[in-house]
Amino acid sequence: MNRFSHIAGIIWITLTVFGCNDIIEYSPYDTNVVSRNININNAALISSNAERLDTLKFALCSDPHTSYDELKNTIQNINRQEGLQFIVCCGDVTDCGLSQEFIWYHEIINNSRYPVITVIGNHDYRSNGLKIFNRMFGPSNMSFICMGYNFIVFDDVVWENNNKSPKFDWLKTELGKSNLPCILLTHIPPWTDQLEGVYCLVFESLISKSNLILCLHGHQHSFSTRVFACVPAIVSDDIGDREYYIIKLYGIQHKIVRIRF
Amino acid sequence: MKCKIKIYIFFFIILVFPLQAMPNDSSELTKKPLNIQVQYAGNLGLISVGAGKSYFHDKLSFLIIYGYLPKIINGTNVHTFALKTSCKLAVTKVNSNLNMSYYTGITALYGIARNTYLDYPDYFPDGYYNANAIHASFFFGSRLNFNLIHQKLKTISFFTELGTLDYHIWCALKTKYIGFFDIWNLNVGIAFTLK
Repeated sequence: MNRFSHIAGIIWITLTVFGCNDIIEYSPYDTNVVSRNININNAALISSNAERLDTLKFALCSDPHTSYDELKNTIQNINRQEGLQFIVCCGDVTDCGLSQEFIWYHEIINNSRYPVITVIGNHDYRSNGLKIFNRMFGPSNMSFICMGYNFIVFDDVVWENNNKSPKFDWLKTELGKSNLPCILLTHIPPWTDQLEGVYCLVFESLISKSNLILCLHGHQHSFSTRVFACVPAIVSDDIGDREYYIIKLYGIQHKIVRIRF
Repeated sequence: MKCKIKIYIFFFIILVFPLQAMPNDSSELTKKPLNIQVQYAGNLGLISVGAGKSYFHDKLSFLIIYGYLPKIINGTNVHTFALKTSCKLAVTKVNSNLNMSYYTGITALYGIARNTYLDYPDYFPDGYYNANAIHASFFFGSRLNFNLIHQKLKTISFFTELGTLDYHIWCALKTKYIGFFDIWNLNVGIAFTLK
């Protein structure tokens, strides 16, 4: 018993000394995050870039959930790409919407050479996820301009938002704000699960009357392309499949390069 | 449906362990001294209070706990109900009135926050998510016990525990990025054993 008590004591002291990154955790559902307004700051950084190029290049990835190793590899791989303006992560950066998951995600994207814009996903809403997202990244609906394109980040989560409608009025205003070509970034593709039916029709009506030239989504965990309301749409595979995309925009045309690593 | 079954199994296990450990004779049960503890942090809220009993010469103890994280701390209210089971691993006796004990255990916690569910509303397809209102927390603890000569108090103890959440263990096992030492957090508390 005496020897065992010594071993137990040594294990306990070792864990106490080395074991705590964030030493105090009140609750798994706590919303305590240090980093604030990452999307707002990064959008300002992207918009302030006065570079004039013929082609706008950015990276697209989605649904890292808890694939932290793959996310780290994706960021390292993107860092080796030249001439990108930013990275878009199309949502589901957590599994359970817990603060620790957001912190781990942020730790990894913080090593990115390019500013990262994070879209909210349905998983990110779970627990107190929306509150954490708002603190860490800023509002879940936002827009920014880069090299003459208006990028609209739209929160289209329904079920996890107490079955409430996405803020279509906000989207309508954003789409009508300027004559710039627009790119829509949402997590859930409008034709899938929780948006099927009325919400899909609303999307269709808003998109068809707008300057949208491209829609980018995640959620489905497999790569696909299609035309929705006469606008090309790209659905990103999840990061766990070790895949991301380089999107090139020139005029109202786009080109997608699929990168597997 | 699958989700509901998992919840029932989880609570069944957590509830059956204490019941198995309880003596058959109810008079023996009432003789057991009452343990009361107040804890700071450790996945149970800012402050939590609990009461319970110990069995098998204090080697196994069970506590029912309520914890609260007020909005004023980080902008969100969280209520937590928990069942804490701990097992004594070793004791180092300093003198007749003072000893240090080491223990480990598991806490089943049920959290009430903004978007936590045991059973999801009907608009979610069946089995879309697992219940996110319940988690298991694992811990190692150390306790400094003072034996008292007092009419009502048997011992007063100060404890610290290192705990982690089931989900964080899963992340650490699944990825290289999350290391073993990344998942632990610390709590401290005071416990009383009544006569």
